[in-house]
Amino acid sequence: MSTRLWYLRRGVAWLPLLGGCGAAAVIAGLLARWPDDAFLLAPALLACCAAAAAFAYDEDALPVVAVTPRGASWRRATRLGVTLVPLSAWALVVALRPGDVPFWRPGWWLLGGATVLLVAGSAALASRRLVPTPGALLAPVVALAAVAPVTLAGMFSWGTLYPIGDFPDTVRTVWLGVALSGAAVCAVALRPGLRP
Amino acid sequence: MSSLSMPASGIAGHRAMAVIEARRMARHPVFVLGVALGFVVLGLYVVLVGDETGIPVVLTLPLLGAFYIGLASVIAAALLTRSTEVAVETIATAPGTEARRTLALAAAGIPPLVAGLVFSVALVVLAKVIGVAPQEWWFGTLPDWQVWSIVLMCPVACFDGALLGVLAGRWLRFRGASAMVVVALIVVSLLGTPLLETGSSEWRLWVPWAIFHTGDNPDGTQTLIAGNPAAYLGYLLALGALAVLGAMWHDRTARTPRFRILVAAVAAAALAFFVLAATTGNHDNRVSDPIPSRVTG
Repeated sequence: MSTRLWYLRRGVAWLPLLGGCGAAAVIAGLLARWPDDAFLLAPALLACCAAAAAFAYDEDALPVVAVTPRGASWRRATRLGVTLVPLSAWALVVALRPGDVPFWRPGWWLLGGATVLLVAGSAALASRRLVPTPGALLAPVVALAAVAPVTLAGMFSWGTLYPIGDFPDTVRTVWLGVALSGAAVCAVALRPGLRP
Repeated sequence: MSSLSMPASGIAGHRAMAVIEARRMARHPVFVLGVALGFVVLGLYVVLVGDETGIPVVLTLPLLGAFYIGLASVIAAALLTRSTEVAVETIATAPGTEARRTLALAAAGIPPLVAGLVFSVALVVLAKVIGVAPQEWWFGTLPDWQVWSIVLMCPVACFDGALLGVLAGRWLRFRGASAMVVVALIVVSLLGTPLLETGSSEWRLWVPWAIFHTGDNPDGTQTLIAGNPAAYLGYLLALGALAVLGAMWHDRTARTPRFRILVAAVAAAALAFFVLAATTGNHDNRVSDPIPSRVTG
């Protein structure tokens, strides 16, 4: 365990990762101030946490460390633990419900967990394919993708993927699908070996 | 080899550099994805949401183009700007200054501008072909210049998105800067909404994307928010110019007295356009006649 912690402390790009969590904290403050805008601020908060998770696999010296005796799969499995940081930030905000926004906590925990898992899995998959800094591209794309459903909710009669109050079964099914996809991507990415 | 045969200075050299940057933008996967999503969502809206009166709330649809194409352009332009940093020492030995390269990078805004224009033209053509409800805020119920100004906010926002990306790429060196810029842009644009229902709704226009149309109200009416959309369009263009100048400001050698005067002049123009947008045009929010098929409550 101490070896893993030692590696995480030195190997992870903590600055952008914690920066994303910091931005999430700022948006949580805005949410407390303007709870009526939760329909957009909550997805923006999720975008920050998901963007932070995208940096979990950034490693400038990847071509070197990928061929060390310890192995790439050990490295990827260890780095997956880093996603607990943005995940904890998200879980904490949902638990605290800033501005008394009526989040249905289990649903919103699922929503955040599914997104972070999918993003971390995608970053791990890119790392497996020897992309040294997947976060640089993945983080902004994920931030945009996390907020995009808000525009659709206003235009279409499908309902929102970010329900404030009741959490309909259909929305839960969608997020369960995202969570399963994330788990599948992680499983593929964490297989032993490299696939350049 | 083509770069070696390129004129090192003058208009021809700058044009060649600008064409290269515009091409890089047009081929960037994030930009292409954003454009594709923008048009797919517009197509889905036209197919799925239209009723017997035609396309509903047409004047809200420029938001789709601005969101998908514009925000994707922020990301793509920031990545393009940062992409040359790995070879900064090599580039520094080439003829030309950083400010000149930044100015060429501003041409990366051309593909988003064109995509936004195509989006707007498609919107107007679709509304013409399929039709809109007679009570809808559109040509016929609004002066043409107001409709065109609101529709053209889409290409201008797409253009500005790329310029903001260049600005972010030049100044923000931490990883994930473009992600933070995208989120900040969305949050800042949201900050204008608390004013929508107040008597001071025109002061919301300081934000980089202000809405002029609320969509359908529960009683079937639509609200047109106060303000002058043509002047707001000028404000957006001035913000884009400020973004380019701000990116060029990164090069210390560019900060000549003439350049400083130019920056001050553009900032003053942006302020003037903002004041014009807030104090002219529609002074109060206007409510349309109800559209019977859209009454929901």
